[in-house]
Amino acid sequence: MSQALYVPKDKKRNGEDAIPIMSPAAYHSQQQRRREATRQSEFAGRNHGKPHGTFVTDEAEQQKGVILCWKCDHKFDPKKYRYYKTREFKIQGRCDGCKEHTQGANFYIFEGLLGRKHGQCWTPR
Amino acid sequence: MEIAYTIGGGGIHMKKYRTDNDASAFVAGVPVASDETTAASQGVLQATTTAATPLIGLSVDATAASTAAQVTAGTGGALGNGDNATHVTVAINPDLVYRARLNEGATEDTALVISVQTDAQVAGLNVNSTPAVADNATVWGYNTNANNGFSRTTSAADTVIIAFPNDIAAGDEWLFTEHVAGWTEAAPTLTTALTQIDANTAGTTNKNFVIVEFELKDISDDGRNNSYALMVGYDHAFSGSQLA
Repeated sequence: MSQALYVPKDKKRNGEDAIPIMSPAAYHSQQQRRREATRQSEFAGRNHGKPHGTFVTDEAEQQKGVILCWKCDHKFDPKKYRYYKTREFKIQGRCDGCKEHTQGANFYIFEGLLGRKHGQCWTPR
Repeated sequence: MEIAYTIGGGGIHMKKYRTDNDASAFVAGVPVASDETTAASQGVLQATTTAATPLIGLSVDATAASTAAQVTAGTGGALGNGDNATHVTVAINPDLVYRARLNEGATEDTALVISVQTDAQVAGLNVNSTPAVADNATVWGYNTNANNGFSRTTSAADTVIIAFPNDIAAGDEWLFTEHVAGWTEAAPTLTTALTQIDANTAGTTNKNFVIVEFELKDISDDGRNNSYALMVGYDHAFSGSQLA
């Protein structure tokens, strides 16, 4: 644990020795470090100023999950890309179109990933 | 492996993360972990068969090979309007419950083995069967069995502490998994592709998942291929604490 020297004003006036205190970095818990490490790994998404639609369709070409807010949702054609609109859970996340965090987002998943077998991850109910 | 529900009952939070450059190819339904120990880590990794510390969530994307190079679209799209690093969509709720199939051995989609009772046990306390049911396992009636649909936990020598509700007869067929719900000392080992649970490997102190409950089916619902464990992450990066 790293330490720094801190001299309280009253001690300084009296000419007393500095006392060691824990550096701010040491206060970071293990969980905080984990959150920061993962946040740095967050995918940047669409570049600002670039068209929303082409980025979303690029995601669909790669069979990625697509997250859309209610404003962007109607611009995406899930049937064209063989996507399933999930209804089983309320979804939240950052919209792939406008990049705004949204509660109650629409989440689309590639149809080939529906089911419970190996390589699949979502079961329609 | 798929999303079953959340313990808290809230919605699912989806997030997209870059994958580590040396990570194995991601497939849908694999648990995703963070590499907190390597300073040079570039993103998230797949969990291993025995560890997920700390867990990030569940991948819901099609197969993506991790690479340090710029990604180009496979069938269309220029990928010029955004970040073209390899990434994966992850359900990140710390209280997410994962549904994973109980599988015979390490190879996916293998039916569970049937264990056949060798003698009658009128007290309903001894599962003397072949192959033998392991200690600290969950055993349930499968076929030609008065105890179809009932499950118990074995303690030692195929003995269950709480008797089955009906007498056990020779020839009764059982299924079993070497795991117990709610017990951190009986954490599962995943199959090679990380999408199912190896029911044959004894539960141990893996720091990956804790089983919340089972969906145990008998022959009427193809229990050998259609039984599941529902489990929660043991050590989630966003939970604020470990379960233990």
